[in-house]
Amino acid sequence: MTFRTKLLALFTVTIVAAVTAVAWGVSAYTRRAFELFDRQRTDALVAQFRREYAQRGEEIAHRVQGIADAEATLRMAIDLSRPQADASQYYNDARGIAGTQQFDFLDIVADDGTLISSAEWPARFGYKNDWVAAEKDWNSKGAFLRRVDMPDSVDLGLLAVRTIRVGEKHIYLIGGQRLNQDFLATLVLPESMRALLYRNLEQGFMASALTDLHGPVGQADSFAPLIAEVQRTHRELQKTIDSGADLAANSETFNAIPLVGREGDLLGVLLVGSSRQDLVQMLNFIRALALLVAGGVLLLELVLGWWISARVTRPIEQLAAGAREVAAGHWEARVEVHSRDEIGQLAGAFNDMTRQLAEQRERLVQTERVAAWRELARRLAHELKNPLFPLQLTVENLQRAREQTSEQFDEIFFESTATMRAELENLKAIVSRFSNFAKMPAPEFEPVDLNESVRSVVKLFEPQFSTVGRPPIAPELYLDENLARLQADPILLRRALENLLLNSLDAMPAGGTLTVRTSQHNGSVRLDVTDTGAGLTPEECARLFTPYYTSKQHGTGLGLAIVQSVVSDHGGKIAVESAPGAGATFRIELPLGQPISGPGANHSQAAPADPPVSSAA
Amino acid sequence: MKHTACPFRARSSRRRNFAAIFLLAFLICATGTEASLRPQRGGTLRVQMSERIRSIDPRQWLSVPAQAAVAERVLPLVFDRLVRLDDHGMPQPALAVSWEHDVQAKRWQFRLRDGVKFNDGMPLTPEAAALSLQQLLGNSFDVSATSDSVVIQADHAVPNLPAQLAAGRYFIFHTADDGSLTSTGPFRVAEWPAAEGSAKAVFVANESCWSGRPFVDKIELTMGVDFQRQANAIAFGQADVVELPASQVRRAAQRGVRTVSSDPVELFALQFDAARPAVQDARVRQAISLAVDRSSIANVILQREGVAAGGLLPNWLSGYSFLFRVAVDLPRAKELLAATGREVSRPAPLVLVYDSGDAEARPVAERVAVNLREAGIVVQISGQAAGVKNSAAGMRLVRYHMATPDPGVALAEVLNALGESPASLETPEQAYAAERAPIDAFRVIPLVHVSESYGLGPQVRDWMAPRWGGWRLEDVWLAPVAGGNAP
Repeated sequence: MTFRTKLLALFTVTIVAAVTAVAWGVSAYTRRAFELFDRQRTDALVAQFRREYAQRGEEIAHRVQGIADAEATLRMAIDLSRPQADASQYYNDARGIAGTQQFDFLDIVADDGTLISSAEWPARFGYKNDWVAAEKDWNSKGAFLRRVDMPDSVDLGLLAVRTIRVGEKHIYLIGGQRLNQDFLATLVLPESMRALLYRNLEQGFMASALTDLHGPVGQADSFAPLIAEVQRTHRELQKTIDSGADLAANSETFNAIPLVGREGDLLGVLLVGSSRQDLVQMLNFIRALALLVAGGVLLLELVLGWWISARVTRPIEQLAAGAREVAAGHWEARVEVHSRDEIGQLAGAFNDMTRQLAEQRERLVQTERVAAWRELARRLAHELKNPLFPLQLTVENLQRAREQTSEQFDEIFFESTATMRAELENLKAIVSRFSNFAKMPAPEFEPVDLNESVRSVVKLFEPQFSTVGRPPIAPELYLDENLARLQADPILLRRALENLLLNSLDAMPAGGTLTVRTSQHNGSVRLDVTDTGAGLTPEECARLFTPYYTSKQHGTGLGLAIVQSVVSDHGGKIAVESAPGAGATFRIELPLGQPISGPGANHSQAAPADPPVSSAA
Repeated sequence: MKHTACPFRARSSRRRNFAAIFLLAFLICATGTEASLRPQRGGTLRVQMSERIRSIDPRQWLSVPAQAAVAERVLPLVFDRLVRLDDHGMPQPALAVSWEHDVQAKRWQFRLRDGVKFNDGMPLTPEAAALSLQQLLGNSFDVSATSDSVVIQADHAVPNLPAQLAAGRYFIFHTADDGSLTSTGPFRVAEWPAAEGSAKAVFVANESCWSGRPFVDKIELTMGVDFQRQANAIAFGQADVVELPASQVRRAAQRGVRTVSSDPVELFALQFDAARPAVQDARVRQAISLAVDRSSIANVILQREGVAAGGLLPNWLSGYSFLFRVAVDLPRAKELLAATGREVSRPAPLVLVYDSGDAEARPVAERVAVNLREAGIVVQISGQAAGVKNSAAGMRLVRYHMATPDPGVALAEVLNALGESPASLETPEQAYAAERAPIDAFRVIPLVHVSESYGLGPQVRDWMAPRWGGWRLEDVWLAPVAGGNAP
């Protein structure tokens, strides 16, 4: 990924993050505002419910008091206070009075708690309502919630009790209304809110006990956990309940208000629900708006970001190009300086660096050249010194031989001249080798079968594999028969192969295995020559292809240098893998096509990071 | 054995009453008070009732107790029987002036009254009487005519045949050529509700009635009027005779309505469906009998117009009903239920079915349910139209009307309605044993006996209904409204 792309991506991420943060912030603020508003509405409705509840209780108490104050009721009380009073004649009275007062419940109870007449359950006359008789001062008490037994069920009533005192006896009037959906109908609810009533008249959760204005609530089971929690804690709770197919859009926040009786028993739960549909719609709108804004900003940012990043990265790209040119050997590469900022300073520093590098290189070349000449002179002196010393001794011996007899002189003369001739031949050979290295011809390319060249050279060395007096060497060839012909100079290639195999033979004085392998890889031909010799140290590997470097007693240090030169002239590269005691493998890779002449063509020497070299020419 | 009737109608005794009335009227006149207590003819008697009968044909007499009770009131307006019962339940001559039977009481001969004519002018003949009785008595009886008598030959002994013929469907009628029925009763049908929606029947006085013309000219009978509307009608002067349910009699009297009640003639009882597993165990049924507070039903729900019943027949009819237990024993009931080792109300509540058309049945059923709940039996009550069978019902609250002062006939009818088949009811011992058998087996649990009550308008005079309920509208006359015109 380019720096420009990274910069563009950074811009994009920044913009998206910013828009997301803003959308999230607006959403969070909206949610809080909505919840605050919802809380206020719910609180208002709960307060309204409490007012209605209290007002309804006061109204019920007032109406029961009205019944108690009625003349007919007083007459009945007086009649019932008499000894042997016949209460049966009032059996139906409660129903009639309840009808006129619009009471769902009305009981007339005697002083001992015996039910005289009941509107909701007339057949229960004669049974005791002990809880009424236990309290004497009912007239100061307000209305309260109570479970009311019905013939086939249990109901929930908001009741008030009033007493009529005649002498020492009391008559109790219990009147009230059913707490059901009719009561919910009296609550004025804003849109998107609703009130539910759960009548807690059975153990556990009963779905049928949950009603709204229109009767039993559908999907009542979703309220079971909330109801169960209120049943357990008797405390006001809030919970969001999802319903319907679209859970988010149909979710409602419910406030559950426990309704308790006189003894603190939980008799009902009022559920005030507020739909979260508006909130969900608003949040969806904000989300959609944020996406739209983010999309537009992103598009704009892409255009502007591309332009800005192009401006920002252009000097850096120029620097990169300059660096690449320097890497390619163009030490004169320079970049233009357009600004004085950090990039401009960097460009200036780059130019200074390349200038200094060029100067240092020049100095290094000169130094190396001097060193090379010194090395050459040293090597020449060393090579020439060896034959010169015998020559000197021979000449001196010959001069001393003039004092000998002629027969002896002749014998010495012939021996000396032979030695001198031999040493002169040796000197010629040394000079010839140096001359040949200096006169490496330019390659003449033609299609060459590498396998054939390998077989020919190996065959040439066959006598040396089993030389008498030295351990044998086993050659092993693994040649790829599908190897394509490559463009190469067959003479130079053969010369390189000879030097390489000779180097390997010299590396195995104790015998071993010589393995030659050819293969084809990605448009190039690979040749591996492996010996099982003593291997090389990393330092030896580093200097292996340096001309005139040798680790052998009698080497010139030109063999592997010649190989490296041939490979380089063919556009290939050579490398060596070795470790002390593990032999060495020389790997040559040559391109199948015509080699490209250029600066890089001669730079095939193994890099310092390459594995250690095993042997030297 | 021969029974000879008094040649005079029962109304002869009323002449003595008339004399007394005349004397009283004279005294009133002497004191300047308007003479209004003397029976007067004329006027329209407006009668309302809650039931509705579809036909006045005795051949279509329904065995449903409520329908039979209504027919027992309405049909005697038009039809006569051979025999009638006096206030003591003794058979008295009607269309038959005398009767006799053989030693085995299988062959009965009723000598017809002379000079009686149907209201189409046709004379009453033994053949016509025999024909109508043959249609009503069925194949167990062979009815034939002699020159002046009707002979009824039974295949079994019927010692109380006159009493049987004095109640129920056994009216004498004649089928005219056009298929209509003619009769000899004090009234004839002037208008009968043919349409389904109409409920008003009109009867006009039979001027040539053999027993004398009735006092009122016309009776307007409105059927299918609920009790509340009837109460309003009598309160606002829109009716002269209305029915009063027992629970409203006291309240009506407190509001100034004249009320009259018969002796207890109706029985509320619980009858069990022995096929229901919940009540198959007699101990459960006994527990139910012990748990029900009959006195509360009689005194409170029925406002003392009923009496707690231990037997099927009321005490005034049988004379031994005090021998049956009516006391509540809740602990014993719970013991019995515990002894059964199972809960009666599991897996489903015991269903008690009552007649939804009977206004008094529901509160009685509710009270029974309350009592049984105290004993530990959960009861679900369910209203059903009369005659509808509820397969889920383990108990049924039934109501029987005993329209006869003859205990044997009444007991036979009740036992028959209960599905019991007593061997013989000829002696009080046999009747007692037959009555006790289903009660001791708790197949039926009598609850209360209830009176039949009516509210009368201020103009109605001489309401002399029999003690076992019903009407005698031919004896009723209407007093003139104070300050108004005579009827």
